[in-house]
Amino acid sequence: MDPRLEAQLAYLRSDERLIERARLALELPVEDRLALMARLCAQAVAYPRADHREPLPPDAEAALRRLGRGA
Amino acid sequence: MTKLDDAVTVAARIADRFEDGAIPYAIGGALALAAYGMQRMTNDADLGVFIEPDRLPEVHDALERGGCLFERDRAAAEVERASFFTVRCGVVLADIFVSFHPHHDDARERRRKIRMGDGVERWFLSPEDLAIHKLAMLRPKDLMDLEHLFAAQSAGLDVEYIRRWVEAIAPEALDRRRAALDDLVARFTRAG
Repeated sequence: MDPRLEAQLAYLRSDERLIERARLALELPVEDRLALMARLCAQAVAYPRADHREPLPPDAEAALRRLGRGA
Repeated sequence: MTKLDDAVTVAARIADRFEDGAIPYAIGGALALAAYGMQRMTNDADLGVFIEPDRLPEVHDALERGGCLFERDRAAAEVERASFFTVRCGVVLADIFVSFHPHHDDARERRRKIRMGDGVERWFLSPEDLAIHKLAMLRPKDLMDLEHLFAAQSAGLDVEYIRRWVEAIAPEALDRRRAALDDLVARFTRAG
């Protein structure tokens, strides 16, 4: 692969990029972040809902029970 | 009339009815994740209530006052079986978590009041308790949420509190929850 593309891909998958995205998100006041979230969510419900929940991994049940929750 | 077509509006409406009924609660899930840094789409609202079992009918009353649709008998049976039940409010589904466990005492104590887009402050799970729930389930999407949470909160998280509960829910030293927490701490907190 072109080394420039490889470098770009590595950056896109990096923790550095996640931290930069988080820094940008936190520049917004929390009430603005939640207002933006409401708009994203209104778009989400316009799409067909999945007909199942994402299955829990087999070992999650025991962990959830120890946290006082069923699975 | 408020349109109930997004999880944030629905969570706020339910939270206000819990507040009216003096029912301690906290908003969790993706909404709490957004409050602590990263927004993402979600179809669902998650709320936990901190109550004694005999107050479950009051929770049902509050949800009905909020316009949520559900069957009381089935909801009570689901709480007995799985510690949560699901209601529909407008086009949004809300999961209501009810459990009676020492972790809930800690989570109630640590919850935070956060101002939402309508200017009203409501209770949210602490980032640490959100992390504990995500670590318990640890599906691929939970791991992604945890990375976002740790990237946003980094050194501000009380890692020792998270670790205490992770060790309680994952007693085996080689449990992947413990390894996931160690990995997140190493990658995103300076202390790691």
